[in-house]
Amino acid sequence: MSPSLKPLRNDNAGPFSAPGDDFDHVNVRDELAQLRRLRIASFLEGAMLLVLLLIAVPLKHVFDWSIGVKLMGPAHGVAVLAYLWLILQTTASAPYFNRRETAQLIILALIPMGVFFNGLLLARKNASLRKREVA
Amino acid sequence: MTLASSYVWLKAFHVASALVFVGGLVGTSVFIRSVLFTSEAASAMAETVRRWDRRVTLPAMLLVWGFGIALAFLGGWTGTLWLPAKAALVIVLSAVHGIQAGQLRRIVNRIPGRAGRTGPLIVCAVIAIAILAVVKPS
Repeated sequence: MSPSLKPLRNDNAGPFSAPGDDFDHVNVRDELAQLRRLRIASFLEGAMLLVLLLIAVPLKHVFDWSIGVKLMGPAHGVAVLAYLWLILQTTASAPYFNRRETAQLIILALIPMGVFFNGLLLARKNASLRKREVA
Repeated sequence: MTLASSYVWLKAFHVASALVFVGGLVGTSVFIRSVLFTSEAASAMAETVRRWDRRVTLPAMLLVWGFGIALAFLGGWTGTLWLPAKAALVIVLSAVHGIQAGQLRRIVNRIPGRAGRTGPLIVCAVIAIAILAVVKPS
């Protein structure tokens, strides 16, 4: 049997069943880059929602200028989908996100302004990885 | 180019992108299920699969979305019932792709893990999408 073939089921920490804060096996620099991508996507999603709600929507209702909403609405939709995709990719690849944290990231991504709370979790993970990098 | 002729071209590219996307999903699904995540040989193979995923499957997924949204507006399908159902299934397939991309990254880095069975989900979703897109039940 080729060494790449699976001889038996591997029940180690899985994409959505890792014990959390498990930094064994990870390439810290690679993970920091991945977390940076997720934090940028999180920030962009939140910022686009703020632009939509605080600029485009008032402009539509006060000045009857609807182009902003027509552009920002779909753009924000695409940003949400891209952000969700990146959450799934990151949590499926990183063993230091447990089920609860994965669920938190996904649920808060769907709640308006939830991304800013996700930012706290991502900052905490980033700090843990940085500590690991120094050690 | 008239609106009608651009519509059929967009539809052709949408179908082509969908075929490439689903092909990548199925292939990656079989690969991930058949290897041990911590194996050195699997890690080397996963590099190649991951390259294909990044260069072919991911762009195909983005094109599916782009062409699909353009077709929905050009064809005036936005008020129909079948379209949101089809979009929901495409979101599910895109989510499966996101998880697969993460699992490939895990195999490349030889991080222990396990893969769920996604093949039946992909096949059922594709059958439902084909029915919704062709029959367009209202």
